[in-house]
Amino acid sequence: MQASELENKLARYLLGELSERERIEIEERYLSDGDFFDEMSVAEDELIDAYVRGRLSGEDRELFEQNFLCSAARRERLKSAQALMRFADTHGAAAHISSWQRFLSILSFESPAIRLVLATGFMLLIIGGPVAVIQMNRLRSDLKGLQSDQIARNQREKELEQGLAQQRQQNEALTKGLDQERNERGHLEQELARLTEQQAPPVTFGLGFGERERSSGSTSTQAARMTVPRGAELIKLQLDLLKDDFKDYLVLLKDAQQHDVWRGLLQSTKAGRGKAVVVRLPSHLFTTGQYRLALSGTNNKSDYEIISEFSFDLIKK
Amino acid sequence: MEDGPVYKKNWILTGPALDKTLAHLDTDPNEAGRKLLEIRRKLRRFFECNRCSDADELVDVTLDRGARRMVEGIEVRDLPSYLTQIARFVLKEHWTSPERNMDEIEDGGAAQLLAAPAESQVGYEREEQDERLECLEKCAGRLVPAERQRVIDYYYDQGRAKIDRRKRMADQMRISVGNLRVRMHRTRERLEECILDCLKEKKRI
Repeated sequence: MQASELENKLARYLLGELSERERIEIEERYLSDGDFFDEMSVAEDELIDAYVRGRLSGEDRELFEQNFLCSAARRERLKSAQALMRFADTHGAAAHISSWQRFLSILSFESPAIRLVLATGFMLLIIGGPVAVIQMNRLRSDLKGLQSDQIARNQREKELEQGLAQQRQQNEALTKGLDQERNERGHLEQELARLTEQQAPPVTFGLGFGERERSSGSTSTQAARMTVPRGAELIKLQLDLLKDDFKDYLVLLKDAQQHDVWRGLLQSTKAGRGKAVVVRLPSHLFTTGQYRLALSGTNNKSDYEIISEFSFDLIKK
Repeated sequence: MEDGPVYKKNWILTGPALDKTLAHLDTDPNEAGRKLLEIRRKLRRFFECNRCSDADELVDVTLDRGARRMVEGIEVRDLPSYLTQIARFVLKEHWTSPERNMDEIEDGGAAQLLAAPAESQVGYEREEQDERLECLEKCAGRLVPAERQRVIDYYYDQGRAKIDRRKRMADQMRISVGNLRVRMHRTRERLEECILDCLKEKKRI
């Protein structure tokens, strides 16, 4: 079946004009074939648009109103199509002004610059006769050239903006993907560290509640200064939680220059009477200096809510 | 005291029945959910094309009935085509149901849209269309600029100019006109959903 023949048949089906046998045949096809269902969806769009644009014959219009607009959902789609056509007409008309209209707009003397040029030209016409006519034509053609340049420049700028926006989106997606990878890798490192812990006991520090919790009035047992003995392989940090509201916790460690040192997605564990997030980090990640640790929570690994921050000085002896 | 028998008409979809239906569609729960939504969309179109004013309700009846039959132990090989068969039965029942005629009268259906509207109604509709356009502007603003421009280009123009423009667009994107149409349909669906959400939000405010 040719494309236009099929389109016509689908339109007849949507208008409720096919015989029962033909109707069943089409229904069987779109209920079992995803591509055909897409064709049907497109045919529905086209039919609605034709109605909105007033391109249906009187008879089809009647069938459309009687048969097609049978449900609230379809009436809703019709209203959205009307809005879509208005939207396209408004913006399309602005972008698709023909060169003929542009030429006419030059003659409409709307621009003060053009008015001045034309007035000068008129003076010259009276005084200078044919020379002025030539001059005026040259000026007009220069202006037209300038206008075309301006339009081309605007078009180029628009294209560049579009390209930039796309590039920015791709970059954001890549960064997000990379962070996700690093979070997962951090999680695996934790598992590995937990196994290593049995052979070489880590140096453990309780950082207590973070700065936000402390400012909200709870007591803290924080260790603002940590001394790590030479030879220690693993450093274990315990970050207490006031509330355990999240499925996963993102731990982000930065040095004094705000460079990422480590990040990982972890789960909370029991710690005494409460809950805490425990981070196990290889000591080679650290040199003596200041560090800042940010703790965020997430339930979907995509939206993160910052919970607290911890600052500490680490001294390696 | 023991519960009485559950009659077919009063049967409601239970968690285990839904799980069983999903498991029948795919072993991966996400993929099964996607397939179920796809079936829903197709069945909704089927009922709409057979002039059912409340297609969603009939889709629910179809899916519930399919799930119940599976819980009862009916062996189903191809669930989508089994549901298609059920949908045809549901449609037949709907057309012969005496309640249907009452519903159609109460609903008014398309007649509501076509009857000459009162003056106050005209004002309200114009306001509603303006709000809808405002929402569309907002929703289209969320698309990437190139996609927004594509929407304008695709729906602008009529007749021969429209056909030529769409051909040029497809050539630029190095896809067939058919693929372009499907792609634009998906964008349109997203915009329609966004408009509905936006209108709901406006009404809430």
